[in-house]
Amino acid sequence: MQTTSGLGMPSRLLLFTFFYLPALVLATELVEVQKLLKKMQHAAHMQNYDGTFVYSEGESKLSAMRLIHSADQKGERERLVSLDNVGREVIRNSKNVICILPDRNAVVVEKGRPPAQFPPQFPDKLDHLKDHYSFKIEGEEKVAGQLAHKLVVLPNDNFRYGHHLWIDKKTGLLLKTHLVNEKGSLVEQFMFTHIKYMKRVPEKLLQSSVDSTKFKRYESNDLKPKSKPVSPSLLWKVTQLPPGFKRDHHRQLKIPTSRTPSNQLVFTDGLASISVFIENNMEDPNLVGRTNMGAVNAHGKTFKDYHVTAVGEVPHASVKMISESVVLNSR
Amino acid sequence: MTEKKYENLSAIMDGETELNDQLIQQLHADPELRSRWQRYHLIRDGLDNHLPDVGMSDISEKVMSALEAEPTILAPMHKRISQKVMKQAAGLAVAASVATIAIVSVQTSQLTNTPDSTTSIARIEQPRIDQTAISQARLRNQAIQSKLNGYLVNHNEYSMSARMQGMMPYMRIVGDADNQRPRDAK
Repeated sequence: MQTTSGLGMPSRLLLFTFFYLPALVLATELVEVQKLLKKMQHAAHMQNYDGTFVYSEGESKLSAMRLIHSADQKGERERLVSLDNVGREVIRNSKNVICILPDRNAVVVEKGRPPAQFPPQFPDKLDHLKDHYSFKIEGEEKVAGQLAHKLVVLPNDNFRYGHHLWIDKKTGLLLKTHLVNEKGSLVEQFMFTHIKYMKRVPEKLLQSSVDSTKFKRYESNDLKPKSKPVSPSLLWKVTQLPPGFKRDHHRQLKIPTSRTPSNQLVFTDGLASISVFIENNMEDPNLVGRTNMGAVNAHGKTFKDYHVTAVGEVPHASVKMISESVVLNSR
Repeated sequence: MTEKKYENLSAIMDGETELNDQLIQQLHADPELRSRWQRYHLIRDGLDNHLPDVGMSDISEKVMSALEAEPTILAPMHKRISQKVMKQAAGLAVAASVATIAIVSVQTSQLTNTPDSTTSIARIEQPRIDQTAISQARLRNQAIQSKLNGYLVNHNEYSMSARMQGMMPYMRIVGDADNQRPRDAK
């Protein structure tokens, strides 16, 4: 059957080349990105390694640490050791998190942690994310002696940060990250300087090297918080959100640094997240306006008898928009 | 009743009456009254030209910017973790790491204890405005900072960096021992 189109074959080919080919290339690249992220996710749980890395926030702080990760029949286990001065350690397994703080002569054990995401999921579904970020694999670079794919995740607007991820070509492990703000400056980075993959991690490497027998031991069971609704008759509403952000969680909790229970609303675009904390507390001073803590921006306001504070690893414009738009609806 | 309280304060400031036990009790119990008492002194000293050269707002701004410049997210301000605080922290069930909370709550305890302790009353009786105002600004900013830290700990489990690398929130704790960072550096 003949086509009714007046275009000849060459023209159609040209059309295809101009309009569909770029889209196809993009789609192929996105599939590659998706594969890479999936591999990274898997490696984070499954690889056995002993590595040294540096971690820095902004320009002024730099710490060197060692991270040992093991996955075997005993499950996933991880040990993080500071290589600076006092040598704090964190040992995690699927049940406990043990923090050893030699500078405080303290061991803090968090028990009964549910076998949660460890590490939590980097979203491997890009359908929603691709509206707000563009993904690009930018060749290969060496990190800690390993060849790595460089994946660049850039925001399409000024409401979120960009990420540069270096993912080990062979193992899929995340070897280096850069968190980049809306001005293109580096706000946080993490980079392995040395990594040794192994078949099995020797038991000794997963045990603390600190003699903590004389330390004070503090244990906590991860009890369900007896959350007293802050104001059950009140409905909090955020009237303005940066594009792509949706409400994800809502919980009521008691934070030890706050006198009164807090409402926490969490918003996410699938990658970045922002928490809004609302407290009925006029006794303590609260943040009015902006501040930042490393890569984290915060913006606060006072609203009737409430403190509203938004925090997140996003540009200030985003936390500001959210916190300033919080209103209260009586039910 | 409220107006009466303030009248008493004014009367003392004007030297019309003596500071009595009842008023000390009131000052002890009432933070609003205390801050008014300090403001009165501030105003008087200002009128008498007894204020230090640097304006109060400048000082508090300096403290604020010093705090803002702090690169650390979870900043332990004090060397000692009191047992009470640790118990309190341990007893509180939050999904975030207890260690972080323990570190964070030390700051709060120092803060919440101060207004009720007898030392603050002594300070009120002999106000040295420059010192008090500075330490108040400092205290205020510390209070805000520690509250933000508390928020941050509870935000961590949803945070992006935890999604990238699960240990990242813990890196902040481990790399945050007291002697690794200059405090109040300018």
